[in-house]
Amino acid sequence: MSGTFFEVRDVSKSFPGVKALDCVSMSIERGEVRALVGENGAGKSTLMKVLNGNYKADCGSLLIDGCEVHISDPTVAAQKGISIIFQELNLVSGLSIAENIFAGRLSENGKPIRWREIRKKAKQYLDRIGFDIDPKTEVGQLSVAGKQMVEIAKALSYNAQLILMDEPSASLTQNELEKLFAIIRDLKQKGIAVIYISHRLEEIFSICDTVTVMRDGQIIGTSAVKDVTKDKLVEMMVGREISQTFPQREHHIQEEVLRVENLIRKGGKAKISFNLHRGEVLGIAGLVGAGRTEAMRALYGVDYIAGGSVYVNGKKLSSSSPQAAKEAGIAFLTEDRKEEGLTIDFSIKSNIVMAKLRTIVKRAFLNNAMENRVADKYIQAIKIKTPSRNQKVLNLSGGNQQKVVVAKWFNTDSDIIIMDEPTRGIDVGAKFEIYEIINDLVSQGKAVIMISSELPEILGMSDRVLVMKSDAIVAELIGARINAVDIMNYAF
Amino acid sequence: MSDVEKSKWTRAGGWARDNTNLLLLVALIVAGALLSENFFSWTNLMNLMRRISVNGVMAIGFTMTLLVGGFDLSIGATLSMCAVLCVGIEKSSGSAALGMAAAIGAGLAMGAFNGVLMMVTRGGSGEAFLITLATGMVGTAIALTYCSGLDIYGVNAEWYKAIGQGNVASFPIAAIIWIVLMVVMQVIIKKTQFGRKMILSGANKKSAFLVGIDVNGMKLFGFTMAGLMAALAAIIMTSRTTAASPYSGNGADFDAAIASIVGGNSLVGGKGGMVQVLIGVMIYGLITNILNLTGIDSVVQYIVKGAILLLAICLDKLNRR
Repeated sequence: MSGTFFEVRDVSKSFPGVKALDCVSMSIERGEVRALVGENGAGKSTLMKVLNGNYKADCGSLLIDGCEVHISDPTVAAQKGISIIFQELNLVSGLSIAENIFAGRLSENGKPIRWREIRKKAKQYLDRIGFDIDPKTEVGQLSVAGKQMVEIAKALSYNAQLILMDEPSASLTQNELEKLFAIIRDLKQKGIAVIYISHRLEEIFSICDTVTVMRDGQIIGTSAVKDVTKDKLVEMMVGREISQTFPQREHHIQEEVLRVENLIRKGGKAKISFNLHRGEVLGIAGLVGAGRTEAMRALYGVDYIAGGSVYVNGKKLSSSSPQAAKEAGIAFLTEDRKEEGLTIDFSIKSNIVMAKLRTIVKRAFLNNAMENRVADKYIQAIKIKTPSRNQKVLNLSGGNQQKVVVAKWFNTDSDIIIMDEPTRGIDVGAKFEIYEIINDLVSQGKAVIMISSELPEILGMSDRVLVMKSDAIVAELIGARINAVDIMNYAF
Repeated sequence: MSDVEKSKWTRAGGWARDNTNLLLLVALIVAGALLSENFFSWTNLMNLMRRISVNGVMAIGFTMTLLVGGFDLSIGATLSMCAVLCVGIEKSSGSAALGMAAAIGAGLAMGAFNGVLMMVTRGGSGEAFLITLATGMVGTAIALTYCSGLDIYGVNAEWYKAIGQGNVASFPIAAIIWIVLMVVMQVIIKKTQFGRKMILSGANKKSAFLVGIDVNGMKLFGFTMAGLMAALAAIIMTSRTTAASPYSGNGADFDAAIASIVGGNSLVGGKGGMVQVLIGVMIYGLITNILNLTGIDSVVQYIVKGAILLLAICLDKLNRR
């Protein structure tokens, strides 16, 4: 290795309400393969986007070979030799490999495109990474791994000296992964530096030289891979004080209300089985992409299932559809409030009553007075802040919108309430109120399933925790085992 | 200006913005009265009502498809098809009731066919455009085939003729039918669980699906209603003209669309209803009426109507911001 090649110095980046990067500094040498790890939201992707020119840093500087560079957009980044390979690949599937590699520079200054030469050059770059394929092939016909190869070839064609890979392994098979590792080793030989983001710690130990851990927008530490263990990494990732507080509740766990047996979604990788009791909050932890939301969508019948069954109060659901699930007493508060939870340009009251219109029917017709009464009841009970029940939900804050979704499902009087990221994007005060609502529900003998990517929330609210990874439930934790280190150990 | 006054003006401005359609209607009524001294005569008004009721019934159907999140360009063809079937079968069988039953059956079938295609493709507005464009061609072809491309003259039963020509207490029966249909539809949309579900599914099919609403069933219902309304419009139209042409529905889909949208029914689905249909159809009828009263060339009338549709679409978009 030949001394520092690329350096990040004191870079900070804020988004409204969040400090995504807080004085981050790191340096990388030629031919170094650096792993970047951290929990969801630790700031890894933000850092990548700053390096790539997608985001502009609030302060701090980037240096290449000791000279400060200003990367204003991805094109400049490419010119400076920095290429990024995103998890969601940025290729045009209807075009050929060659066209994708040379997209935007097929010809100079409007001269006619010299296809033969373009293809020849594309072929050369593909050969360099050992990808034997006709550059005329349409990208849409390639596997994810193949597309990744094209991205790498494209990076090489820009003469990249630093390649950033954001979870390149997420959708690769073991075989394809081996190939990717071979390519990375080859890049390393050529003196190209790689920053490798992955949630799979095993991979880091097999391919990376060094590892940097991020948490809450800061760099916690960097060390040689040979000097750390998986446990040590997890500890660095989660080692934070839990500053949030959670409302107290008494635990009265009663009989089983929900049982899921061998449920597998269409295209899913694993079957899941679990149960849920009255008076219980079941936390579902795992990394983004672990299949938590998908599992709940399959349970509720939103997405197609490939097998398995769901029992509510001992009775099997007749079919896998939201209709059947709702009738059986399941409520589902989705992650995507605006698109799936609310009819955004309708009034608060029509959103509150929509899941159970029967509650406002009088002599076969919808009754306006009853609708107002039902709406007012929930507006008061869960303190939705609004000048009027006729206000469009569009005009409410995130927290109040979430409360409308909660009210909508309260009105169905369901026994089982599934909440997917119930406090995402809402402020601290409203979060606390949502926690109180959850406590209130379980104290009434209802059962709550809570998916959350915020560890403190899982730790603070759950009676029991299921940890998911690659569509499977990999651990069930209760009591003292509900702690950050155990959860992260299973999740990674 | 004091704050109180200012807020009063802001509120008035807001009201005006929300009720552009109503203001336009009032303006047209004033304009009609100023342009022609005959405008407020009972005869003119009742003629107007009679004339707009065919488009009115068509606009009900079109609006139903808008509400479920689609739209239907085939209703003009369905109108032609039902018209020739109704008159043709009355002529060949001697039974007006049989003719009407055939027309209603054909209309329902056409609408349901569109609805099923929308279900199969899980379509939105884009699919609706292409699907109904294609089924419209089929409808026109059926109409042309049935009558060999020629107009059919007939309509013998007196009670059949009365639908389009008769009056009850000097009020046209055709207009009564139109108004009754609007009232029924409005009650379904606004006052029943079914109608509320329909509107919710049109406004946001994802959230509707998640609360267990049969989104596809709603689409099927909306499109089937459009077919039924086209059939009823065909019966009213043929009873007035006592003849049916395979081309009689040409442009009728656009007339219905313009009226529905000008009245304030939103293209995004789930927003609107029969009040908007009433306003829109009256606006559209009045414009035609005024243009006729002032003797403006029919070709120029198309320019005016086109401009009104574009204006209405722009207003709908602006109001959604």
